[in-house]
Amino acid sequence: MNAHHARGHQAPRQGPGITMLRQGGESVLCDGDGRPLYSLNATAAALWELCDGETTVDEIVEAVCLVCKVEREQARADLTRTLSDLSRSNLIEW
Amino acid sequence: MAAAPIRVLLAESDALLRAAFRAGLEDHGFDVVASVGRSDDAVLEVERQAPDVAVLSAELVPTDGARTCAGIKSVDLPVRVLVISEHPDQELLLAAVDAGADGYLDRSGPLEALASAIHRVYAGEACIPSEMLGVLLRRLIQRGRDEDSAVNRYSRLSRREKEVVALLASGMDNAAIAEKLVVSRHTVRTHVQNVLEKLEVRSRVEAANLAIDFNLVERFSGEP
Repeated sequence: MNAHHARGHQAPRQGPGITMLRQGGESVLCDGDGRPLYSLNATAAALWELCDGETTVDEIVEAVCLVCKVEREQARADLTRTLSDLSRSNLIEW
Repeated sequence: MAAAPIRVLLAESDALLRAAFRAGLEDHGFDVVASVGRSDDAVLEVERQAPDVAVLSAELVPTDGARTCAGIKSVDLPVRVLVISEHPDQELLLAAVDAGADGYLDRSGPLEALASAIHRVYAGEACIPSEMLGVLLRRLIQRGRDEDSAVNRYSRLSRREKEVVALLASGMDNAAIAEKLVVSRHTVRTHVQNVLEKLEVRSRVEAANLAIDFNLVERFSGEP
């Protein structure tokens, strides 16, 4: 499913076998063999951790608004863009 | 023309630390318009000086940094608040975010980090330690779920049962509730039992705490 059209009630899930490795302030997603696939900034890493198949897009947007003090539309646009990138790289699924 | 320096209010109960921070911030080009050791003075000085940024120690006295932040945010001034803590933890961070803080920082870091954080919150950016962001988001999401659950359970109550919860939350015992509602104590006991069942709690204290924690009485007060 294209995350660009993600609905608020949808809950993204980390791709099977994908893990996140933190090294010196940087975060990297790796495949089952430990090969680095994708580099994440701090915010994207936090969002990745929320992709548990239960936490919805709406829930993430509300929390990001509160913490990052951005408007809901901005938070949703930024989140959708991040999830889109991860989805295209098969790092999350819906 | 050089930009005007950022006007900072500093609130730190430790006098030595306060003096050191003040000197360091002034060396970094900030205009420290007030430097106080108490939370009540911090709020007063915000009203008096209208700083751009208030830097509050989480360990402030008599009220802590998070509650002082709430007090400052209630003043009708566009002051950004940065809470700094010697012992950063999730509860302090959550309290600071709840109070409307614009940033949160471990004060044991270099002064350059504090200066950078002040610049960031002044620019309207949130400033949360990156290693705490995920945990904070998770806690806020869980709290949102808890709140939704509490609201759903509370909405099952009858009007009378909601009245009973309000009185429980105010600390009344069954005798006082009976007198207030002009009913028998037996009737009150029945209402209380129904309340406990519908709210899925085990005691009147739990019921009262649920109502208080999620502001349920006021939230539903306008309903018929």
